[in-house]
Amino acid sequence: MKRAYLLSLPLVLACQQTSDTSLANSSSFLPMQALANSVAYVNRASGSTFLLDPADPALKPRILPTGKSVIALERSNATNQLLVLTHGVEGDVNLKAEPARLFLIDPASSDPLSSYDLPGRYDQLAQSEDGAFAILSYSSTSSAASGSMLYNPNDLAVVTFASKKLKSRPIRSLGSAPTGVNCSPPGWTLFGVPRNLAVVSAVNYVTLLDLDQPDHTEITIPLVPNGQQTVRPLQVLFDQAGPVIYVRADGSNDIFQISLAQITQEGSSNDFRVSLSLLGSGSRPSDMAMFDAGNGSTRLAIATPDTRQLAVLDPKTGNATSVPTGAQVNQILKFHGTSPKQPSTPEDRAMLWGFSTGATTLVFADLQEVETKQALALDSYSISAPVTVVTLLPGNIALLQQSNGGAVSLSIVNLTDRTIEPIGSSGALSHVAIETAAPSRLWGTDGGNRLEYLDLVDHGRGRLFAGEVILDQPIAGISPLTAPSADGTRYLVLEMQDPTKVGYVTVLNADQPDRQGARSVYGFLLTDYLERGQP
Amino acid sequence: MSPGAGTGGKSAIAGNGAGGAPALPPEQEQALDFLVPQPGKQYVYAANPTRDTVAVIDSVSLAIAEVTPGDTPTYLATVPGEDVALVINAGSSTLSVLRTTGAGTTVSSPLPIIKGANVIAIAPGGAHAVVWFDVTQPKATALSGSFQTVSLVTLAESNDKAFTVTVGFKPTAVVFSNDGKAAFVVTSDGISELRFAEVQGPEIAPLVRIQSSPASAMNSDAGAAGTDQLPEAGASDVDGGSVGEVGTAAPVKSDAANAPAGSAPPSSGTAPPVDVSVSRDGHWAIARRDGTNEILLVDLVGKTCQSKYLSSPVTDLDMSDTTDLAGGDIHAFAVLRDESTLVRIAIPDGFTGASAPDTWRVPDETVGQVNISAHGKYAVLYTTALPKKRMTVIPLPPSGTATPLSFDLQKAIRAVAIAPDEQTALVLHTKAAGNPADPGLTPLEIIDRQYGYSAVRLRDQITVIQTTDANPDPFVITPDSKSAFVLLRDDTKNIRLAEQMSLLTFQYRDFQLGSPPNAIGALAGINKVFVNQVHSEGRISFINWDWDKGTVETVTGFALNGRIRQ
Repeated sequence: MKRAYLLSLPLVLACQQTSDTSLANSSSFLPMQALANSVAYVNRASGSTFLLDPADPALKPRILPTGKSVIALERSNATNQLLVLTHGVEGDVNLKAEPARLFLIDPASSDPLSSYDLPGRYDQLAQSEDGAFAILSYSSTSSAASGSMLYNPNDLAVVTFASKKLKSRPIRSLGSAPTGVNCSPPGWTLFGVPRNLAVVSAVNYVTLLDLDQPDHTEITIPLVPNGQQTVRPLQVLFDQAGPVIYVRADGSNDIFQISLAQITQEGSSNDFRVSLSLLGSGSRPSDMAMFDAGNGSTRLAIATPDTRQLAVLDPKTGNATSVPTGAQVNQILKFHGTSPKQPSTPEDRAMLWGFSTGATTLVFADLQEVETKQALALDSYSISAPVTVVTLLPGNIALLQQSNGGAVSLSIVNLTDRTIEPIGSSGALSHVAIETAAPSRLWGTDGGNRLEYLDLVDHGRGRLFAGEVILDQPIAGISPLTAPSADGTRYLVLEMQDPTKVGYVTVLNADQPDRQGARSVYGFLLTDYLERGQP
Repeated sequence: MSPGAGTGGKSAIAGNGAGGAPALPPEQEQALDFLVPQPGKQYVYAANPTRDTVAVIDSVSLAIAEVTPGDTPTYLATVPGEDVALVINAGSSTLSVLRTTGAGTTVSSPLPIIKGANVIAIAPGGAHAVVWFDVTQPKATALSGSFQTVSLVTLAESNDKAFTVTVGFKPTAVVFSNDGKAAFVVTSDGISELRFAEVQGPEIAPLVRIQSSPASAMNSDAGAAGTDQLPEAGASDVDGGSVGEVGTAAPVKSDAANAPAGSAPPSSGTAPPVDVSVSRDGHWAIARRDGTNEILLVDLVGKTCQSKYLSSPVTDLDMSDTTDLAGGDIHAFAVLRDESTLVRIAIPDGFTGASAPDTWRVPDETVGQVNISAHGKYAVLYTTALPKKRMTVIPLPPSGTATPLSFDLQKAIRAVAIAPDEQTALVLHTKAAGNPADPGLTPLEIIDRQYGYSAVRLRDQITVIQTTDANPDPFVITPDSKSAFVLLRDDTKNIRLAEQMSLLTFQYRDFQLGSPPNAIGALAGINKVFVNQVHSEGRISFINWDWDKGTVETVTGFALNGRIRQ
């Protein structure tokens, strides 16, 4: 194992002399963000972004000046870029103002950073699934969301990356501020043409925005007939079979069905009108999933844990078929595949499980059969401990993370065979990271310096091959990168325990992890500390 | 119902008359209900009295607009084929005229109307309406409305008007001439005429009293009336009028020429007229008195009334008016249940003796009701008074007689409707008491104990029965005559279905609904039926009746939809 120390002695002294300030600055780093083949650390206060290429033999970060007061960062859904949202600086008599900005950081580019000056100090960033749009908004009506004395919490900004345009889109308010944004999935069509819509959620209403037509007016859809009820939209699904959007909300027993009908577009109006339907689903729906009824029409599967039922809704008629699940399952994992009874009939099926309900049962549902066979379309299986996380892997494999009294255990579920394989462990697994794309591998630690991994699919050494790498220091975080670096190696970046928060990572070959190939760098967040005018 | 019958009319059946009245219960006909959504051309209108709103539902886009026409909008009717609705604001005694534009915008204009009005009858063509108080409607009391006034509404965009017109005592129905130029208010006193072109403001409408005249028996053997066959005096439920009273508007024309010598004057004139029908041109009206042998012909132009007494009590009376067709004519059809006979009487010649009536006896059958197809091609005879599983079809020739064709059904009859194209009839059946799942029953007994309906092809009487798990009610036949829909609802069994039967193939299919259905109507312009359902927020489904489509779309939450800001 090789270790690099980036600090020269004078710098160390300087750090020591100004340790308080240094640590204060260091501690304002946001959690490490993994990109495709690099990682980034962003200093919230200074706006400096440290890009670390694990293929770099020196592991020296590239430091990019982004805006001050970083509020949020996330990886672009479209490209290997990092989106950094800043509040900027309001300015003072002795302080130059800096606008709020959205930066795009491309680790592969040496060009100047591209950024968008924002019309407001937003604190929420949402992207469309294909990364074509970003929507910036305020999370609440309190001044903490903006940092400004006066602002409009219902002002949104929509960034269209393809045209590099930003459009301010204040939406009408029915008394609250946006709580979330959901964009239509890639390829979603409206009246036969691909279309990009956004659903902006707020307490008691949602707003529909046409992202392709920034000049068109928004549509405000109330979810309660009066203000005496509180409904919080939680889940939004866009129907692939028709111009329909479904919204599940806390505080409502109904699923809200928003149907879009084509009309003639005039002026700034939309070329569609919406209507709302309430689909009764039972008591307090906790999750929903769309599936194909087998004839091209959509059905909704709804989990209602209070009544221990699975409801299948026909949105066209509002008819609901409810069947008992026998367990307090509240989450739905839909998949397309066969079942033991129908080994040659792939269709939409689901596994239901309970999150925080204490349920130790998995329920499998042949979704297309529920309306006809009712309870006969369900199968239940006992598991050893309640499930906390389910990760869907290629090949209709699900990995269950289970917790029993704080001890984490794992099971692998073959969704088509309906087999459940517990994974043995001599101790509690920590810092679990799962690669959901091939090669699917589970990573974790023993809470110390032992890196454990398990092949969830066969990588040539058999499925469930287990290995470990022992490192020198305790591990604090695991980030398997998804793409190889320039040297052709795909890396695993480990955050090591770093009480001083000066930057401490270890990199390994993710496909052939071993101690000999591990390299570490310590203190890289202090790179060029003095040159950067720190403290 | 006559060709010119108004939508507001309710042909109530009074109690049996006295002498000559059969022991069988009266035949039953169904009434309309205004407290359900009503269809326009593309939009459906649903009143919500508790919210002071009317939801305007676009059957194409499912978009809903909510308008606030006035205080407690309750009774609603639509102009057929137009997106225009009239709603009575019960809390303010006003009528709002709602007009929806192609862009989906609905404007409303309130007009003052009579207090307590609860029925809207709209004239063919939609240029006029009569709003009146019917004491027999649910929640109505004698104190809640006016017994002798109606509101005549003239509908003209930007110039709607309403006048109060005084009419006879206690209106029971409003019928229109088919040209839409006149309304006739059937009252206990007689028929009040509202010739729209002549009503320019509040006034007293001319009244033609329906007065019984001396007996005039038919001179055919089937209906020949002897003295001892004449009905006894009317029962005690006198609503107005008296025997022999001369009308104030015009003298009553006696039909003494046809009265058999020595016959006693009829004493049935105290029973209210029922089954009132008006000819297309508004010239003639016919009626009968329940439980009596008497039928009445009212000359609404000459303002005379004459009676004709048949040989036994008339249990149903209908009018066929084909004057819109080349060589068409007008006939009254009377059913004499006691004689199993249908009598066709030309109007007016059959009442004056200038032409003899046609009669069809149906031996060994019990027939108490008649339905005449839209253009007079068929008469369908049946009874609802007894659980008879028989029906008779008579292909009506222009003159002379034809052979009645009687045939078996699998179940007894509750109601019959004939499709507009005169090709098929939908028969709703009664259900025998008992559980069809009881052991030891024969297949026929099981069918008897089930609900059901049948489709009958009239030309060859091919019949298909469809048994159901719930009472098929209400129903609608699509305007193109291709399908019939029945609603099936049983809340205890969680049955919530709209069932479509193709009237071309007699095949059926079910549409599962999210909530219990309670009303159905057809939207001719877009080939959809709407199915209203019982739901706290309001729910309506639209079903495309084209057999190769059959799509269902549902919208729920009228109030929420009304608040969407597009």
